[in-house]
Amino acid sequence: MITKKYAFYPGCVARGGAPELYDSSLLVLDKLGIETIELEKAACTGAGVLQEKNQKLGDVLNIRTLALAEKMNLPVMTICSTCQGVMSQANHRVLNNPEYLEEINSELKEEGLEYKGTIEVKHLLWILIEDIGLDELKKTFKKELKGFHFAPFYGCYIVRPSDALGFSENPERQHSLDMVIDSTGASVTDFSGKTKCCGFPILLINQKNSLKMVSNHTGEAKDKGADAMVTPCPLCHLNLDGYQGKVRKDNRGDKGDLPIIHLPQLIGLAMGIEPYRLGFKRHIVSTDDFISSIAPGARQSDPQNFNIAMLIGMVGFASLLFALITAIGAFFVLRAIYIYEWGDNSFTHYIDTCSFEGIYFIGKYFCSFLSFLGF
Amino acid sequence: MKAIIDVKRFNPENDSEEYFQKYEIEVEESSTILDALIKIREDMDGTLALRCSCRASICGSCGMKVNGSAKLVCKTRLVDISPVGGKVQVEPLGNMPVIKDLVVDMNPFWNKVKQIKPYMKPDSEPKAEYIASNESMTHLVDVMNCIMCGACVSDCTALEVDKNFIGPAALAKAYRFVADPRDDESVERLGFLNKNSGVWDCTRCYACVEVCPKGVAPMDRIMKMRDLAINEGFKNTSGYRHTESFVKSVGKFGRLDEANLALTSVGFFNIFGLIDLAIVGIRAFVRGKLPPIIPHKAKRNENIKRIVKKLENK
Amino acid sequence: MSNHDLLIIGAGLAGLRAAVEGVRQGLNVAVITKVHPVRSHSNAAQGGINAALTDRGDDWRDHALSTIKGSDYLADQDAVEIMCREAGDALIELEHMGVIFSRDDEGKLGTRAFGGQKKARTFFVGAITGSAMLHVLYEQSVKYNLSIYEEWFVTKLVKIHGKCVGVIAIDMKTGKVESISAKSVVIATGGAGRVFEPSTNAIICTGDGLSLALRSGAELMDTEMIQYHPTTLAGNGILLSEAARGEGAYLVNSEGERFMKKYAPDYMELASRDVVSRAEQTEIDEGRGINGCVLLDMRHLGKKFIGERLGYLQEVATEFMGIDLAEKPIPIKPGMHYIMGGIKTDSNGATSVPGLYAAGECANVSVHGANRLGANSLLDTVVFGRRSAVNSVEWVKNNKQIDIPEEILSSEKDRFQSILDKPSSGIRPGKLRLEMAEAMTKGIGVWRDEKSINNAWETVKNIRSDYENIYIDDKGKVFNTDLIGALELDFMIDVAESICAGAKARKESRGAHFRTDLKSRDDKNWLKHTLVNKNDEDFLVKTSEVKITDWKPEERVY
Repeated sequence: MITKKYAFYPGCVARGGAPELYDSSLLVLDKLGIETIELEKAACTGAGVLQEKNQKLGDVLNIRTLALAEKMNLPVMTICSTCQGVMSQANHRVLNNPEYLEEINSELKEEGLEYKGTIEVKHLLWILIEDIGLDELKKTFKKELKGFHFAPFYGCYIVRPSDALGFSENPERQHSLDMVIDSTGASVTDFSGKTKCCGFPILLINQKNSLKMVSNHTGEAKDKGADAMVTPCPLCHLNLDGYQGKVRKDNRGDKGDLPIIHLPQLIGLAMGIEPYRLGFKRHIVSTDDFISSIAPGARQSDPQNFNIAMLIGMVGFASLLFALITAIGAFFVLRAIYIYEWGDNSFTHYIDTCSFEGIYFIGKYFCSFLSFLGF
Repeated sequence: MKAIIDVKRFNPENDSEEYFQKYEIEVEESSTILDALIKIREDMDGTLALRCSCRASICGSCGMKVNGSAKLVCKTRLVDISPVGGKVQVEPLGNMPVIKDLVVDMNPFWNKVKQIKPYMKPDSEPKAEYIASNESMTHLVDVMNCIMCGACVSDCTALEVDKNFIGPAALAKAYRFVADPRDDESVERLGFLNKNSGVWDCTRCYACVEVCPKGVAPMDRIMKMRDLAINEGFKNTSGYRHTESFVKSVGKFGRLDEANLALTSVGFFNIFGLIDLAIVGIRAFVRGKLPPIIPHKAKRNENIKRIVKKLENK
Repeated sequence: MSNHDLLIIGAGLAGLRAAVEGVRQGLNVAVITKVHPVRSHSNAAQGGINAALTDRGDDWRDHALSTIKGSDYLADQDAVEIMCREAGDALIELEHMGVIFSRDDEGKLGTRAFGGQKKARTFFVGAITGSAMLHVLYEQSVKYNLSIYEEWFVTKLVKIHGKCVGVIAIDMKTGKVESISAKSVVIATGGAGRVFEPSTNAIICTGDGLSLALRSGAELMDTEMIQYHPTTLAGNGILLSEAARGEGAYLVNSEGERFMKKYAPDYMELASRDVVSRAEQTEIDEGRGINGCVLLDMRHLGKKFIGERLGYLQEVATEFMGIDLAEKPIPIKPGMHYIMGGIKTDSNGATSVPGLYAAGECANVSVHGANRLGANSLLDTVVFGRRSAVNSVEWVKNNKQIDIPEEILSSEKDRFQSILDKPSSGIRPGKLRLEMAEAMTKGIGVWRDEKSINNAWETVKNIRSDYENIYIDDKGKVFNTDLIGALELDFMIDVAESICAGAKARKESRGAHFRTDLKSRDDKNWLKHTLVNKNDEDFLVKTSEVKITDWKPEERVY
């Protein structure tokens, strides 16, 4: 049993659009005997977007996160390439510029925080290799994934810029994902896109270019024989998974059916954790066939999956509500017309008149409305 | 020591497609890849075509891909790329058509540079020199360090999918003029670069920063120009809306409100964009992947709110 | 066949400056260059550009004196006067074009000290002045929509009725051989460093223009004046700018001594380059060197200062030697760097061949005489580049376009084919070049004497006959660098022989030409230029007078 403790920074997407990453991470960490305390007070890293507008603000927020971890005397664990990269860059900037660190600390003073520069930020991917070691990791594996081919997709921010990511002290980080895939017994599908951009940062800005990247990388990996793509970044996952179907068809004319799985999901499979607990059903690109071949007969559906029921329920409720509001609204509109026509405020007379004459008068108003429109 | 170099060859006069040719050659311990290639060319195979000139990383001729990543081979030592016995694979620069072997047609590169009007446009000229602070000139030295070697363009992931993207080298060059106090067309330049496959098409992948042999950091210049464009009032881009929404979300919740971010970036009047988003949203919702409508917040986020408010209003 | 008013061979600083001027003068201009303009070797100049700005109370005459003294009184003083007088305007023009010169506290152009001058008048951009200037001139060429034959290799200057009428050139991308006619031609092909080994020069510095001019009947002047730069890296010969010493770096021998006080007590490390190179070589020869080098020490300047003002030097030191200049001194030695000699021109760039001009390093006006001051070359290129274009306007107006006969074109094509057809039992051109270059460095180095010069010349003559047996691997048309290399070697042999001829002829020591068998300067007999002409295979040497105006030759002490 390996005992290590980390301040856990799951990032926004693991708590938002990719909850299966969060769930599977916790399961894997549990099996590894790693204890984590979640940094609930920490802010979003800014993902580079915030830094684009205001780098100092981004740095203050990220150094604050590191200061919170420093207070707990724990290194930080990330499960997202983007969080890793952004925090590493912030750390790198302050460690190389003591004046800048002082400036940032002056913003943190009010909260009673001060960063002394002692915290390391490590992605789970690196922790597996450096802190736990692949030999120890293999001991936790119950299932050999030999015969399966996984294409590694690193995510830009965990490989660039290399001087902020400690590559000179830890050169194996450049190949970390390949190494971890290899340790499961599976084969690594090498392809040219593995350290390129997935397109996520420009998804909402230049969708065409973004999705072309998705098509290129998933298509290339599929062509080279990959059964699935593994990524340590949930943002890459969202783009490669969410849009693959449509864009592969448009760009390459083939089926966009390459499952995009999170790193902890791969580890979880190798550890023999039941697939349904790893959240595969949440993926847009179906993992059913893939899971059936890796873990034949294993349960895939999460018994707590009542999403469709929820959808029907919500739609039904919304429809009822709409109908009710329409009915009430219609009542008042018709009553107003009635009062205007007959000048009579009596409710019983209103009900009586809601007969042929009523319909006649509604029709009259409706036709005037149509003629106003120009018919 | 012995070096084994795999070089991508292509001769348009003889070959229908590219292929790799392995060369084994004796070199010094301190040899660079260029030293080895020149030796190959002179002693073993004079048909190998490559560009090189100064050997001192100032002319920019010898940009090539080494093990998949663009470099200046005159300052790349063999021992640094692969310890003894390791693989050294040399290919021509990417994103540009190959003329022969390691020589690429850099016209697409130069045309992009010309596109951004790379010359001073002052409104008037003083009799003596312009008065400009040393800081402003020193700041430009970093960008002027660019030797137009093409490494950034070779590895740009945006250019790979969109040949119209102006590209990191031309954009860095554009920044050189935008940031030069003597040039009087900064606003027009920013206006042009704000659209037309300009600054907002960069994916922020850091590839150009990583491969630039002179520390120009083109991506950082592009980001700076986005900022400058916004300051000049060029706000009608989804990029701007995206950034603003992101900052607001962090300022409000301490975390990212993904659903709102998607909506504001697309723009509330962009009907087709919204419909597209809705389709994805429903698909996501059905799988339980839709970001929560009421976003999750950071616990006790008043400190985060305070910090954002203070530093945004500076 | 294309034709132009003005065709400029070479797109470095001199070539582009001439071209921009030609366009401004309303001529139909084209530049023909064997590499893209920004790849030209002008980009390797690091330290700065000299200019005396009169509105700061500087005096161009002081600059002229420093230049003439630096030249060991071989410079033509009327040309020096022109260069120093026009320097201020040339500098301001460059700044207006956009060069990002360093500034002082008031925002005005800032200076650094440089070799051979007491007053600091060297304007600079970090340690990348040449590159910064070249890129700005390239920008100007884009602005003026300049026509550029990019990656075309000129193989021959064509003369008809004694006039220069154009060139024959190979389009490297396709292998096509074409003739381009031009009413006037400016040669701006730069230096010939590859005739030596090692050299600070780029692989493209093969002296093409010098040979082209020689073969057209123009003269080369003072070819024996080869500058050995004091601070170059051992092995690859890469340059470390004089700017380091200008900013305060020391030269130190194996005993930790700042040895320059023995040789130049007044100017110390900033004596003229030939004096410093000889000082270093003496220290090394007398056993006070370390592995054939002395040390350049700038630790006392501090990391921040080095990063700001000498950034490129730090880059070179780290990348090529693994040395941090703020932590350790770096071993350096004298290395071949520049040819003061070149195509003889008047101060308007005109050669002895009508319609043919030259500017830049390949030309010899002479402003540098027997030794060039640092930061005068960048000035030389823009001043005389401009002047040669202006001068050609008159010629263009008064002369007609002349077509180049088909026979000349086909004879060139046959010549190339015969080189390609040589049998595979031959010698590789690279091997011949190396042999020649090593012999030249040995024979015509910092020190030389009758014997060493003869040995070098003998080797070069053998190389010339071996050239008949070279073997070209690449028989193709597209980007045939093998063929281009062979043609460059052919040019280099001419240049090497010219240098040997000049060195053998000058029977004295002056400036960079230091003969250990004739150690003193002989103004009585040798205050003259040497002129080399090529007549078939013979290199004949004449002499001509040096133009003296206001500065009488004196003893040269630093």
